[in-house]
Amino acid sequence: MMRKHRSAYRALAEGLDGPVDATQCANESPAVRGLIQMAVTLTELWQQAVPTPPGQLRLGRSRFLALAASRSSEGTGKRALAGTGILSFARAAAAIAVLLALLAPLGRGIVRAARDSAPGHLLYPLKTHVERVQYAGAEQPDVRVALSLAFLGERVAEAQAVVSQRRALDGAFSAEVQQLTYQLLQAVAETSEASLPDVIEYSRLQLAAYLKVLFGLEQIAGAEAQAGLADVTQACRRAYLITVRALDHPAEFRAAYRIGRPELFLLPGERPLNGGSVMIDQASGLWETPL
Amino acid sequence: MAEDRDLLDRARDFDPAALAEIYDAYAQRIYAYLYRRVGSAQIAEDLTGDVFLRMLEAIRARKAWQLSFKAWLYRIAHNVVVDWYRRGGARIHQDMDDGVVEAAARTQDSDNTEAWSREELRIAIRDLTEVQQQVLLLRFGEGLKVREIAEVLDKSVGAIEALQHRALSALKERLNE
Repeated sequence: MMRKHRSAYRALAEGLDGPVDATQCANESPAVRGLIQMAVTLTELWQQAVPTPPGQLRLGRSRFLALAASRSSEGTGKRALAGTGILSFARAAAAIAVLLALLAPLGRGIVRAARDSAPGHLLYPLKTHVERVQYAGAEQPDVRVALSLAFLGERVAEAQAVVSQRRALDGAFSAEVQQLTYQLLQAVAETSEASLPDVIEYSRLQLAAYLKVLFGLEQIAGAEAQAGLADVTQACRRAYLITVRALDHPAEFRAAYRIGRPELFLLPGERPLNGGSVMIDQASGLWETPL
Repeated sequence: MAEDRDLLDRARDFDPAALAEIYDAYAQRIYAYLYRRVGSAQIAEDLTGDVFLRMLEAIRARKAWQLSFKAWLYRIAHNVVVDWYRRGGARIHQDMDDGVVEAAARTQDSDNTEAWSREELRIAIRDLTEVQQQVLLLRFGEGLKVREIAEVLDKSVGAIEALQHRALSALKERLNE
């Protein structure tokens, strides 16, 4: 009895592993053919029964990519070494066992040190360089958005570290944050028209979260960090306000940033170049607040 | 989607582009599976996001897939649904089988060769055990192979073959009564 059942299970499984079409299972027993027919019907019915997701799965995609990017940036050390040729050097040296044995721990140490480095650290430029390489290698706009947000999150965390060490945030650091916010907005503008509102909203929420941290930092930062921190906060705040405005005027935002003319989408009260509170450098897209 | 080893290797390394590709390839299928389990498009969409976030955490914790990525992802989705029910989630009015029933009604409108009524189909599917419904859904709703379903439900291939056979037999028997 058991043997007969096993045979029927197997016949059914094999019948269904091919093209699921009862007419092509003529060699099976009538009982198995009937079950395959039932399976065909179930398949057809189930395929028709799912409505379109209300949000087109776009918000989930943004959240997923943002988390992926932050996880990716945690692992940038490994790619850092690959990007700078250190890993390839290590691979080339693989034939020399003694040398490899010496280099491997050194490489791992560099990886960890670069990943955890903060502004002012010897390996910090390596970390930001790798981020730029990683960004340049990302082709999809929403991946670039996710990476930009992840890198901005890194900068905020670094600002926290620097403030807690009672050190100053230098101009290069705030310029880097400014560059990242511009990069973010440009990547947002590059996303498809259909997903643009969701991506703007997601970026806005992320920027709001970073601002909350920065505002808190301003309360506890020493005098030495205040100026640099204010620049960083200002850059994030401006990006946040741009996203708020972009939600109401997505087409204008998209047009301005896609052609690399951010001065065409300013905040109320801002004027381009030398005429007011904001100056935009035409070449780089960076802006600055005149003293 | 055939499992692309290079793509999956890059995903293991948190390459955002590879992960985006994976999301685009699987999100709709996972959403459909979850919809059939919970009966609400909104909840299914939210849970789809949870599945992919949980996937990242699993990779980070070095609990990534061993054999089939697709089966592993469905296993995460299965666990997300189980957790959702444990947290008190209730299947929305549209049961897993109601979707089938609605579709059956449409099929019947256009093709009168169907020999059963909606209510018969509803009762027949509801009469199956939970795990039998699971096997049929994964097999015929999602197109997973027996081996993959075994991975999702953590059972042997033989057990899945038996469940599949019994479920179809029971369904057919019910409908032919």
